[in-house]
Amino acid sequence: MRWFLTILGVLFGITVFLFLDYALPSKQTVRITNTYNRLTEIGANSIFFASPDTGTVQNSAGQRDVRFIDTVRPNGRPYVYRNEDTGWIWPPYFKYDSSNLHAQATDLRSTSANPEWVSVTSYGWRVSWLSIYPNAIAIRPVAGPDVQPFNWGATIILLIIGLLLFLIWRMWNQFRERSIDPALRSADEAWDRVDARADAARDQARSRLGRWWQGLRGR
Amino acid sequence: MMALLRLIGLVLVIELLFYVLLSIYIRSTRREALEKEWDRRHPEAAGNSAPRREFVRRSMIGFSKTLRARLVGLVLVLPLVAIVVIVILVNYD
Repeated sequence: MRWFLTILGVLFGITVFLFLDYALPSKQTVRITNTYNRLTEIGANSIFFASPDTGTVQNSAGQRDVRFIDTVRPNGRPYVYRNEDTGWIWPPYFKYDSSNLHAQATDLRSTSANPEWVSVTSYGWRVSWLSIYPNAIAIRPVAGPDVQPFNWGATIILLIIGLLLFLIWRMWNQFRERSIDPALRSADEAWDRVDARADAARDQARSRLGRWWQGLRGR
Repeated sequence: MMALLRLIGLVLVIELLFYVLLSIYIRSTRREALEKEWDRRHPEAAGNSAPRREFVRRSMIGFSKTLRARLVGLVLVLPLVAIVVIVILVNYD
């Protein structure tokens, strides 16, 4: 049983980590090489795209016109962002300025001969075999490829989540201390009383049975 | 429009849940403090008793009007402020 709970706990921890890793904003310094929109097939990977009722229209074949931002990282490897409105529900970025962001990204395009570095804030993962892309949230020009602005957004969100968990823990402890424990104690006492009464009843029944048995044997 | 209404409904439900939980919590901590106060003043009559319950009951009158109890109302405001701040940071900054 213990190993089962351990595995369950580890799996839960991994799930929470992956969830936060996906949903929290992250920053990366890149160089924008191209911006475009492309009719994109959205099938089984649809949970990694915006929900269909936000800003885009999905045709009957399940395709959607999605904006993309091609970038190159300082180590020379490519990285592709999508640029989609998130809508009002999930994830709670409330982004509806994709057109403006696209205009800004297009303005900041540069070539390897004359690079112009930017810091892109985004959430999500780039997984090529699933065809999923992180969603760009904000773009800021930076001085060079080595500049890594501090990720204040994720830090503040994690602090708030920590405070909330602490509050819930305190509330649960207070509830247990003042509601559950006294109830358990009084239930214990009630059980003891029931037990004592049952013992007394059993003794009585036994003596009555004994009398009946003795009467049967004619004594 | 539907999505916005859904968001408002969801945020409201979560806020009200935390509002109720927090009000119960701070009442509970206040009652505990009052019980300890009674025990400190009457070391000979410490522990749960009718006079102590009466003392706590009378001391809790008007608790919902105190600043501490009213601050719980912030739970209904702060998430809204957070949403507005996120909207401004993401879209207009």
